[in-house]
Amino acid sequence: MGIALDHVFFTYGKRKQAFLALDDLSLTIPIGVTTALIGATGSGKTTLIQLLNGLFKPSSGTVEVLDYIFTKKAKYKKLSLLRRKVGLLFQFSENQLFEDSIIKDVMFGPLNFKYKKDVARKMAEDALKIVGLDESYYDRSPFTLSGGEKRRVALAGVLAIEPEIIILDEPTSSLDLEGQKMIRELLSTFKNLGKTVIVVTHDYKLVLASCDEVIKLQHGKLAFQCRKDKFFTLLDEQELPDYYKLKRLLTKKEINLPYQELSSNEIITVMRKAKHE
Amino acid sequence: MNDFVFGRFQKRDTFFHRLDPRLKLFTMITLIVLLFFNYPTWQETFIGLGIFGGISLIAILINRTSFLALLKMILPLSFLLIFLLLINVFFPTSGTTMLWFTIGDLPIYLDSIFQTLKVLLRLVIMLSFTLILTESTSSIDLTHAFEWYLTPLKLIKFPVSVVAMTMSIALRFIPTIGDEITRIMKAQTSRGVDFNRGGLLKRSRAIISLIVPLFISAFERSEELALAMEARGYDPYAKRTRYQIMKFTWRDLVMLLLILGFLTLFILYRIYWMLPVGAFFTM
Repeated sequence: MGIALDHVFFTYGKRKQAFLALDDLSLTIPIGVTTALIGATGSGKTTLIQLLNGLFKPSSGTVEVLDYIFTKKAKYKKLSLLRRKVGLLFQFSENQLFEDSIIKDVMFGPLNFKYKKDVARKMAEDALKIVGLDESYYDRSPFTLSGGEKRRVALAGVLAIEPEIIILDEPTSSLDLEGQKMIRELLSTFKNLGKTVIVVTHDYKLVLASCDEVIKLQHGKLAFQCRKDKFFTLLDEQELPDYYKLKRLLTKKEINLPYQELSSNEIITVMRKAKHE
Repeated sequence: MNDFVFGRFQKRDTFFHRLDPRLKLFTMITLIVLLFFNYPTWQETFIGLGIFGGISLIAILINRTSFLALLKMILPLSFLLIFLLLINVFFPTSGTTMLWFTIGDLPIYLDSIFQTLKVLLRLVIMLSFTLILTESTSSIDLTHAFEWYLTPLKLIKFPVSVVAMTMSIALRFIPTIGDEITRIMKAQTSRGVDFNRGGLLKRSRAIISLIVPLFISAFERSEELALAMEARGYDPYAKRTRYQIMKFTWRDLVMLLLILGFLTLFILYRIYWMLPVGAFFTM
C-alpha cells in the first residue's frame, strides 16, 4: 500500500475544449519520505495532487492511494476516510479560512471528521503549536492576521486532522523569508516524524534543503524521478541558489557542505576545519 | 465553471453576430414587449404566438443556437408550469366559458389549459430571444449598447460611463468567481466538508464555509482591482474613446427595416382589426 499511478490520463473539459493535463503518467511515490513535485506551470502538478485526495478521478488508468484504488468507474461512498488520511494544503490556502476565531477554524476539519469537541480542540491546539502559533492567537479572528500567519493557520487546519500523507501545494509562494524558513523547519519536523510528504514547489532552495526525492513533470508526463543528490547534479549552474553553487564548487575540492543551508559563519567554520584536516 | 455555458457568448460568424448590439437590444426588447400583448380570443392569441414562435425559430436557425441549449434553459421551468397548471385549473379566471369535462364536482375548463399553454409559449419564446441575444453578443458589446441607450441620462448628470464600467466588470468577473467557487469548494472538501449530503444544518454549515471565503476574496479582489485601475490612471469621469467603433452596415439596415415593418404592421393591426383591449400586459 502506497501511492502509485499506473498509465493515468486526465482531461479537463470535453471535446473541442478538452485539455490533457496528465498524459500516460506512471510513477510511484515513496512512503515515509519527503517528495518534491516540480515542473513548469501547467505541467500537471496540481492535477496530480488532486487525484491523490480523491477530488478527481482519472480519465483512464489507475491511481492507488493507501487502500483506495481510483479508476474512472470506481465509486466510493466514504471518501472522507481517505481525506482524513491525506491532508491537502491548497495554493493560496489562506483563502479557505472562514470562522470567526482561529481555534474554531482549525477545529473545523476534526469536527467534520466526527471527532468530539474536546478532542477536536486538543488536536487543533497541537496543530497550532506545530506551526508556531501560541494561545494568544486562539480567539483572534483569522482575518486580522498577516499573509504568512494566515498560511500557518491554514496549514494547522490540515495538520489538525493528523493525516498520514501531507500534500502541500506551493507552500512558500508569496511568503516572506521568515515564513519560508518556517515551512522548511516544518518539513524537517515531518521528516523526523516519518511522515509521507509531497511538496509541489518552484522553490529549489526548499527542494534542496528539505526533500529526499524529486519528481519532475513536463506536459503531463514524467520528465524524471530521482534522489535529491542526483537532482542536485542535474540542475544547471544558473538554476542553483547561491549556497548550492558554493556547495558544488567546494565538493570539487572535497569539502562537503550539508544540504541544509548554513549561515556564513558556519560555512567559515566548516572550511577552516577542512583546511586543518 | 462549465455549467455556466448556456447563454454565454458563443464565438460564431452569423448574421446576428455581425449586427450592431444596440439594434439587437432594441429588436429583442421590441419583440418581447409585443409578445406580451393580449388578444380578445384564443384563436388570435395562438395565431399571434405562432407568428412569434416562427420568428424565434428562424432566428434560432440563423444564429445556429443549439436546441439542446434552449431545452436545458427551459427544463427548469417545468416545475413552474405544473404549479401554474394547478392554479389555473383550480382557480379559473373570470369569464371562462369552455367547459371541457368534470371530475366529480370540479369543472375543468379548456380555458385553464389554454391559459397555461399561453404562458408556457410566451416564456419559451422570450427565453429563446434572450438566448439568441446573449449568444451572439459579447458582454462588452452588450454593455456598450446599454451605455449608448443611457447616454441621454448624462443631461441630468447621471454617471452613465461609471454604471457601464461597473456592469462590464461585473459581467467579466462571473467566470472568475465561478473558478473561485470551485477552488474553495475543493479546499473545504479536502477538509471533510460534504456539499452534496447531510441534513439542513450540516448543509448550511457547508454553504457558510463556501460563502464567507468567497465574499472575502471578492471584496479583496475588488479592492485590488480598484487600486490597480487607479494606479494606471483610471478616471471615471474622463471622456472615453472606444477601441471598436460601432458601425452601421447593410445588415443593420435590413434588420432595422424588418423590425420597424413588423412593429408598424402590429400597430396597424391593433388599431384597425382589433377592438381595443383594456389589459395589455397581463400574463
